[in-house]
Amino acid sequence: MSEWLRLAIALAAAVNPAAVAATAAAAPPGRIRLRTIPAAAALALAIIAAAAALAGRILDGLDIEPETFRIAAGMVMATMGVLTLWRGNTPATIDEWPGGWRAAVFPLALPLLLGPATLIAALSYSADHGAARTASAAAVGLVVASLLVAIGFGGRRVPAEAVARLTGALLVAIATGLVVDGVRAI
Amino acid sequence: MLTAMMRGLVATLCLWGIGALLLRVAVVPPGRCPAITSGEALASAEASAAWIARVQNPDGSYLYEYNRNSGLESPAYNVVRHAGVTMSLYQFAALDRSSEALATAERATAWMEANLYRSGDWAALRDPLDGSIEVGGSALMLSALAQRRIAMANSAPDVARYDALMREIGRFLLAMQQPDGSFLLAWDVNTNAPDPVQRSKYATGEAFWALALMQRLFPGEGWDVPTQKVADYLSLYRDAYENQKYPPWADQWAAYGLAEMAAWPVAPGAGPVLNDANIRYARSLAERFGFLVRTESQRRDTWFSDAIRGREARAAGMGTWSEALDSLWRLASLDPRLADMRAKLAERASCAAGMLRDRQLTPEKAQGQPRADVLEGAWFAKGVTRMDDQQHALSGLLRASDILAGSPR
Repeated sequence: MSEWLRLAIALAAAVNPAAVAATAAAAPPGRIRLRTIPAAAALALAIIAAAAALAGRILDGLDIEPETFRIAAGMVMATMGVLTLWRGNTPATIDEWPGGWRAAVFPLALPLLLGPATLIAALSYSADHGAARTASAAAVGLVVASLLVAIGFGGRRVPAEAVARLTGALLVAIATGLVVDGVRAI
Repeated sequence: MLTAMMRGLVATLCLWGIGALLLRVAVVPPGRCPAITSGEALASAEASAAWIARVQNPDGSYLYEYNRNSGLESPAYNVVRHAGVTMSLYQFAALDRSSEALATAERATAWMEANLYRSGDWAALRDPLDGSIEVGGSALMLSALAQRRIAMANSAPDVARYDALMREIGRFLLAMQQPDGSFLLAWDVNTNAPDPVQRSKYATGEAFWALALMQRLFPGEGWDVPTQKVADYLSLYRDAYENQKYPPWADQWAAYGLAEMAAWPVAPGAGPVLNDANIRYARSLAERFGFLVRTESQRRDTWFSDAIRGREARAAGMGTWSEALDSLWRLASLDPRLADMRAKLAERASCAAGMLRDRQLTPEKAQGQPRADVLEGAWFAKGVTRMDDQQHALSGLLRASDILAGSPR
């Protein structure tokens, strides 16, 4: 499996498209308009790209070795994976849904499409594999999540939550590997 | 009045901020790797060697342990550490023959000669306090004499003064070696045979390096075969046999030995000395020592850091990490199968050297304090310094100076 594909799978697991769709399905009718979904994905991708581009400088500024940061990233990702496994949707609960374009910013972009797991994974992977590769790989998960929200996949609760939980389990496995990798790195 | 979007966004970012703060405090505090030059590493090593010289007793033994809080010297002694400290002085003497290190090491060697036990065709270092004869002390004595030979390379005939004794000690090690390449710990004088039960997690690595040095200094005498057996035992079986909970055991002596083997001359057309299992083992050691240094760089001498990340390592510990990383860097410089690790190994070894230099007690800090002679140039943990703190820090800094200078000596 190519390195890019591995990154795409890991970042897609961090985004967890089925969990995003399941949470989005709880929005009051009419709050999520079709045209706000790509805008939210674009915003999330822009933030990921910016974080990825700045990852080296951020870690340098914080005096954190990329190898050590893998451990932190893995811990956050594992925590989010466990929460998703438990809940069947995203760890974030949305109590108040803004209407119109505002929903693209909150909650669609942040924290649904771009949660803590995705952000920290992007930072860690970018420090190890480069910003362009990481940002392009992250786009896969964001596109899939946008499509699932658009087609209302979350409305079919049982399959949506099942897929979300499976993806959460996958995220836990990937995160564990990242922690081990961080410990075993020189 | 905030809109629903702003309220949600602010709440989300606040929550993330708290999470990031917790992460920063508990998992990824800043790692601190003080910058250090090759000259500074050497100066620090020299101060350590000077400490050892100052605390040497007239009979050639050293001050074992000193508590600066109580002002008390420990009456205990350890022959393995005596041999190790002496070895580190010879390492320094190889670089600077004019230093006091050589004369100090020579007196310490005379102490070891006075405490030899001989049987058949071999000799071993005997503990004068309890009479025990262990592999570790003898192996490090042999390594010390090997380092002496390297230091005296241009001083014929003195260079060969201990050649016969080195072979005698080498034969003791072979007498203690098991068919699987491992070593038993002690010789039982009552049964006139090795104690079949006792093993030590240190002794095998110590003997490994000593035998590898014997092959370098006396090629053609057959020291390579038992050395390769130890290398394979360490690479394949040791951790399982000794029930290491978190393998590999962080064995800097094994790293020394592997680096030494990699430098053995090979016949034209012959493959590399180290096999793939040895290389895999070397890689796992590099990973372990690299992690230890990264973790240590995040520790601080505060109660909070103690509680969250554990106490700062003593110099005897951190020095061994530096020695191992230096050895593995030399190995990675010689063997293309490990070349990908070379830069990271250099980075971690430099980090360890910088931390060691920063934690050493400088003359300025020692000035005006009681027993300043026992403080200056030493490393203290919880108010205590032991002679192997200076030994391992000295060796680590000395070897790291090569990395910082950019090439192995």
